[in-house]
Order: sequence, then C-alpha cells, then structure tokens
Amino acid sequence: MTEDQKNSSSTDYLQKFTYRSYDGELQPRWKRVLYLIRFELISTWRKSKFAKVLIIIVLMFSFFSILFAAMLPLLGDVVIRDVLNESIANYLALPLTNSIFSNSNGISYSLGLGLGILLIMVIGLAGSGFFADDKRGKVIEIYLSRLVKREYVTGKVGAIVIYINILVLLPLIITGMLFVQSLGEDHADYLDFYFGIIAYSLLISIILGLFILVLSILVEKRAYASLIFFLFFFFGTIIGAMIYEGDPNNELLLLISPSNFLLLLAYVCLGDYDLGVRNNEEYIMVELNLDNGVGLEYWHVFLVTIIYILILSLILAYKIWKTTTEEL
Amino acid sequence: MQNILVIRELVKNYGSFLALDGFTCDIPKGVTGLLGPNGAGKTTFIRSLLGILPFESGSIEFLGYKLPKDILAVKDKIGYQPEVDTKILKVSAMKYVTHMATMAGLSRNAAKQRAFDTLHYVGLEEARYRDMNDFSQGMMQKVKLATALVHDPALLILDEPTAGCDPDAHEQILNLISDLGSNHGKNILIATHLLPDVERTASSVVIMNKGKTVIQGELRSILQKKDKIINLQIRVNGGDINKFAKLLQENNFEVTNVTETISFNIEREDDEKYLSIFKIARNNGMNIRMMTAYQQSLEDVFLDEIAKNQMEN
Repeated sequence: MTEDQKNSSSTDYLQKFTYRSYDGELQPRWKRVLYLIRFELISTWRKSKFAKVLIIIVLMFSFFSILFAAMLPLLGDVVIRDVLNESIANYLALPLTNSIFSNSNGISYSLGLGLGILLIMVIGLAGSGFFADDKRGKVIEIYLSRLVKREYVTGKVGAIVIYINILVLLPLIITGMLFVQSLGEDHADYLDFYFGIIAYSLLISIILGLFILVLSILVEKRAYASLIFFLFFFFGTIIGAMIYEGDPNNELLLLISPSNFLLLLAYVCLGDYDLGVRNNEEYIMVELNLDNGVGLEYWHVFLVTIIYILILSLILAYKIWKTTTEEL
Repeated sequence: MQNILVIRELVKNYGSFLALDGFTCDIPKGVTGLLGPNGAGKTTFIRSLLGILPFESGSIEFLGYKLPKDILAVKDKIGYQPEVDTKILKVSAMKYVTHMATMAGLSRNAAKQRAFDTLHYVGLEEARYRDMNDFSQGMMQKVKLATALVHDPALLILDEPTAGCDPDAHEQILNLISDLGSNHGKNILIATHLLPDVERTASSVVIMNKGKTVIQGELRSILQKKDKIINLQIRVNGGDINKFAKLLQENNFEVTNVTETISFNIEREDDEKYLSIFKIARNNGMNIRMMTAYQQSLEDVFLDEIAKNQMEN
C-alpha cells in the first residue's frame, strides 16, 4: 500500500462526511404520499398521551365485545341479522337521546359496542393537529416546496382515513366475523354484511376525517379543533334530538343529529331499511321504514353523505389552494 | 456564463397589490445574491418559482424546464431553506430531515443515510437525535440547510440563511455556503438583507425593488460600474498636505476631504489626470506615499440603486 493510499484510507471517515452528491433514483410521486401517510400516522400516535390512553380503552372495549361475540349463541333465539346490524351501527353512536334500532318491536339487540363518545374524542384529538400543527410549525411551505398541493392534501386525508379505519373497520369486521363464526353460519352468506361494514367504515372515515381536517386547517391551535369537533357531536346530537322530538312525524329531522345520522348511515350501508326510533318523551317505538316512499328514505341518507363529503372537500381544497402567506 | 434561471415579465398580484411587476432577470450558475428591501418581492418570487404561489403571467425557465408545466421536475431539483423556523412537534433533527428527504423522493434507506450525512456536514452530528424544538437559532438554520441539501438539488434557495445566528454560527453557515459554491459546484440563490454575507459568498447579484429588477449582474462588475468615478485617497510627504490639496483644486480636482489623506473624485479611466497628480507633486518637491481608491461596498450600491429607483417611481 502506498503512502497516499494509507493516507486516503485513514481519512475515509472524514471524507465520508464532506458534502457528497446523491446519484440514486427518486421514488415515484405516489410513494411520497405513502411516506407522508406513514409519518402522520406515527406522529399522531406519538403526539398525544391522552389519545393513547383513549385508544387503549377503545381497544379493550373492542376486545370484550369480541369475547361477547364468541358467546353469542347463549343469547338464544334472536334475529341474527338485527343483532349484527344494531351492534355495528351502535359502535359510533352517542347514547345521549333518541336512538334508532334495527327493528320496531321495542327490543334492543345491541351488544354494547357503543364507544361513540370515546371514538369521537380520539378522532378529534388525532386529526386536529394534521394541519394546525403544520401551520404552527411553519412546515406547510417546506412540504409544498417538495409536493404539489394535491399530494400534500391526499397524504393528510389518507392518514386520517386509515387512522379512523384502524379504530372502526378493524374492530367491526373482526367482531362481525366472530359473530357469524360463533353462530356456526357460513361466511359466504354474509358477504353483503361484510361489504356493508367496509362501506360504512369508509364513508364515516371520509366524513369524520374531512370534518376534523377542515377544523384543523381553519383554526390556529389543535386544541380548538378537537374541542369544536367534540362539542359539535355532543351538542349537535342533543339539539338534533330535541328538534326531532318537536315534530316526530317529520322523519327527515332525524338527519340533524350527528349521532342519528351515523346510525342511519350504518343501517343503510348494511341494507337494513326496516327500523324503529325510540321517542324519549313518550318511551314508545316509532316505526321507521327507509324504503316505503314516505318520509325519510335510504337515498336521502346517501345524498346527505355525498353533500357532506362534497362541502367538506371543497372547503378543504379552497383553504389549501388559498393558503395565505401568514399560514405558510 | 450559462444561466440556470431565466425569468421574464413575471407578474403576481395579491388582490390589488402588485407583488411582482414584470420581474425579469437571469440567474447564472454559481452563487447569486437576491437583494431588496422589505416587500420588494423576493419571497413571492421564490414561492412562485417553487409552485407554491401561482403567478398571473410571465415565464420562468429553470434548467430548460418551464413553469408551471414542469413544476414536478422543478420541485425535485430545488432545495429550499425558508426564512422562518420550521418545526414538527416532538421530532428529532434526524427524523425531520429524513422525513423531508422522503418528501423529496428519496427511499427511506437513502433518506436516512443522506440525513445522517448532511446533518454531519452542517455540524450537527452530536445533536441530530435531540428534539429540534429545543434547538438554538443557529442550530435551526443548520437543520434547515441540511433539509434543503438532503436530496442534492441542482439549485439551493436560501432565504435569510444566517438570520438570528450568533457570530460563531453565522461564520459557520457562511463557510458552508462558500464551500458548497466553490468546492462542490452548487448553484445557490441567497435572499438576504445582510449585504456583507452576499459580498462574501456570491459571485453575482440581483437587486429588486417593488417587484422589479433594479440592477443585476456579476458582483465585481456591479461594484466596478459604480466605480466609473472613483474616490481616490492619497498621502504625500515632503510638504504641507493642505498646500497639496490647494494645488489639486487649482488644477480642477474636486477635493472632498483633507485630513491625514486627501480625498477627491476622479474618473477611473482618465490617465492624463493620474499623470498630472504625479506632475504636481514632483513640481512642488513632494512625494506621493500612498494612492488608493476607496472601495465601494455592496451596501453603497444597494442604497444608491434603491434610492434612484424610488425617485424614478
């Protein structure tokens, strides 16, 4: 080895940390969006201790629901499909006021999955920082120097949709499958039920995700977005129920309460149109048929869902495309 | 010199406020300073170049790519260090730079390797795993520089890269910029208010005001252009300095100051005048001990050009 070579090898360490050019390939653009989704999911978990505690509680409740599902045959002779539908629908319901049931005979078949308040809190805490933290940390400009706006927004929406589906779709689909398994039924006969769960999870993850993202981009601090999100569901449900009880004959008023809207969306996705609504003032069940051409129909629910998604998407797109120089 | 950026008649409005008013300039390879007072349109131009803000009309051509058509290719080839501190909650410098490298298109493994290298290069090897929210201003500037560099861009845009730094960090960052420009052939555009920083690191400058180019070109030639009439300072011995100043005035020299030296204005290219100075000294038994031209700084040029531009408008 010559002296020069010896010197060269002894300075390898130093040479390594001088500026070096990069001659590797760049990843396709869709992969960058996936990297953004991954980063957001990990940081969301890392950021809030309170959210971590809530998620653990939610998963524990889901675990007990799954255990309960395994013991379902002990329930005896009940209408299986109503049990399944009601349990799925009540997963996100806020048990505050009048509820919607999968039948009109006054019997509730829900297996106690009602984690609505916790889940709304978790989703609010998780999604509130997606834009608010970026604005506060002044990183939007850095992101937009590397990504185009649609990639940035897709990454954020993708992250919150996946996050919500981890909390909603996974427990529901596992619970649903265990219900069916424990009843000794053939899974192939329940494909429409599984598809209904997927459709419901996807739709509510888009609606709730877009809603919390819109709040996150509109307000300055994540705490405000979380609070508004929770208060909207809490008071919206109470006020919505009061409005409906003022005129119980007008079935369309059921759509005002966020909790009732989520319940209706679940039943509609699961193809269950023959429902019952409990009137809290008179403690009676009122029949609610979503496919009889009178009052509230199943397509009203889908229409409202599409309108919500459109409005929230437009607000989000407008805010991103019109980001002010102060927000960058 | 080959240009990496060719900007023609760029117009950008914020409502009724015209931020870029037909901004036109050529930015050559190497290190270029982008200067202008507050509100001149520097940041607006940078954001338009990066596709963050759409512009109303005009054209930007970067290494043959045209905006806004080729915005994706342009984004991949530019590294941007913004003026403001950029932070992500509860994230270390290493994670932050790695994440931004993946956003620029590097694979996760390559991003980690490059983040490690660039943080080491900017001098943050010890602090790279610390939460960047606890960093000093100088360290933040280095993290931002590492972030801009991590994907090895063809053009680095540094917006106030030394703002808020202590003298030590300020010096280190200027050394890094000089090293990148001179030893690694990086093209760098520095937007700053600190004119000595540009004088020290840049080879060309663009001065803008109210969204328009005021003056642009090689730094040396811009300073020389101003020096067409130079302020000469001389010191004599073998006689009274005041007497010599009087003799110069009698020979039509415009003496501006007499202390230990005599200062007067003279046309740079007027050789006859130079000879006559020596003749006057010799005829009066004096010797010229020192003759030097007062060096105009970039700050002088900047203030003059901006003032001229304000008056024209």
